[in-house]
Amino acid sequence: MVMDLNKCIGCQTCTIACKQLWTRNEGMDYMWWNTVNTMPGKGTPRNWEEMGGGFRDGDSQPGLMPSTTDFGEAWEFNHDEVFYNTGDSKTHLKIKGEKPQWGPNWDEDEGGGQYPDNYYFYLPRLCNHCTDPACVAACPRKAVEKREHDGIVVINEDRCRGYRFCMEACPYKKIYFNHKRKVSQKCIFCFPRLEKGVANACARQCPGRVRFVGYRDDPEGPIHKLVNKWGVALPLHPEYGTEPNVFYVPPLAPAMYDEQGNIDHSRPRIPDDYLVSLFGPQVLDSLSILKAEREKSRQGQSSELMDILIAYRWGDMFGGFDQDPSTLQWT
Amino acid sequence: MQANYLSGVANSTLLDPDASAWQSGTATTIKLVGTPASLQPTAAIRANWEDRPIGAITEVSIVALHNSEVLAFRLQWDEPNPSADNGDNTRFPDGAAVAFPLVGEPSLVTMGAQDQPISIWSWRAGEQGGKQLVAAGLGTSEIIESSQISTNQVWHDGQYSVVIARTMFGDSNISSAQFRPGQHSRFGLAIWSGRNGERAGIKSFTPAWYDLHLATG
Repeated sequence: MVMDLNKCIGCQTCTIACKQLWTRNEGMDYMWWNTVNTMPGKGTPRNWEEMGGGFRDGDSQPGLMPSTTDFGEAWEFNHDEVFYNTGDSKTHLKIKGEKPQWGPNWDEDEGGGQYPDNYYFYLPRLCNHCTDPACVAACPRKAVEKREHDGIVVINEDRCRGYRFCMEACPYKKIYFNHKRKVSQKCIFCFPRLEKGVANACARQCPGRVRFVGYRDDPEGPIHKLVNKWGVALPLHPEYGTEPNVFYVPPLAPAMYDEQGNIDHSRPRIPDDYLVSLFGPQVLDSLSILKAEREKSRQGQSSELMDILIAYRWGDMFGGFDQDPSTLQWT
Repeated sequence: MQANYLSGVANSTLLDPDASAWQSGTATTIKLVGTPASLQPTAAIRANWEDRPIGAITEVSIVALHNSEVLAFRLQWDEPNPSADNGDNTRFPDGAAVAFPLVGEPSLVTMGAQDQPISIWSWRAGEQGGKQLVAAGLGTSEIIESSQISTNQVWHDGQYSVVIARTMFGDSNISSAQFRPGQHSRFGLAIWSGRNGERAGIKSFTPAWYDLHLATG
């Protein structure tokens, strides 16, 4: 998957599409296999980038366990009181129990920088279905598997014994623990949909046409073109050593103002250093290519890259996984 | 160690860790050691545990009883802060298990071997009932659904008393240890300390087998 961060508006439609489809069962209330967070920010789970795991020079690195509070507990509301008149006229909608201290996208739109040069962008995240998955390597029971034929990483819940070594090992902290069923659970990349030729729910539901789907080794598909051919889509935190298969087109920032209040095109509001810290040094090349191709487009010249990113034809975004789910028989 | 025979005692009595029947057994104190970090089955587990102490529980007192139908073990150990799943990912349940060799002289450090499996009766804090498993090497344990392990536990005054019991024989599963009065067998123990994050191969255990003799009437 490739996500174009220049187009993500943080609407969380992907998050809800995933929630509706996959995480409504027992013990899954607090799970959001897909999250969208404002960057810079502490993220979901809180401070996940400081929790370790993954590999360095091929060696497993110690990893911390993200607490349920770090992810954010599922909130319960006083719906009974508000909607069924068991409260009085002053009753208003509120969270039951203790006031939460953290949750998904808790630091929404805080961002970074100082006015008028402040900035933020949205970072959608799901399991990266890594080529070298730390979760697979960590499990002593071989309960986590990278599927041979499509590369999707899945947890075999019949083998999982709830030890949670995968959660410590995953440097992206995208594995949840189901405390009712005592098994770890995570994004399954909508494999039952893909097996029927239907793109992931998060991708199809995205109103911003942010998400491209397909096989990286399909030379006609968008993933190959954006990652391999144009080199503009990059993995998040490549230094974690797991080789993610979710890639991001980095955000081009608006320019800063100079002291006279004029726009200074030489200084982007999002510091290069910050983007390098997320996507590695290649991000600078990616941004240069994006700027150059955008400029070509502005000049009226044709740009394959801009055409792909604009996604004129919605169906072209899905690398052949363009079946309409409403036309299929689901058993 | 001998599992004393208590004629006519109810199965439910054997499942009560505070039952006076346990006074009629002989308590054996067994020392436990932490599993070595270097022998953990994955590099990620080794990386996380190489500088952390493994094996918070170092001593268990064990009594075994049977009534010719049910064989029960009562394990007692000191635990100032009992731990069960409270909904937080960082919290792990306490646990205990009794192991038996099924074939030959399996190594307990490796949880048996491919041709030398071991049978395990296990208890986890906060879960209903126990589980019977068979293992033939690290990371290979499988739950045997056909056999019911009964467990019960109390914790008071900083001490756990956990009973792990099963019918002695009659289970047709070949991966399940069978017992008859008069039989000589062997057993090993493992304890997981939830407060220390112990689970799976991170535990205290008996590196060697202990003799177990089931008394006759």
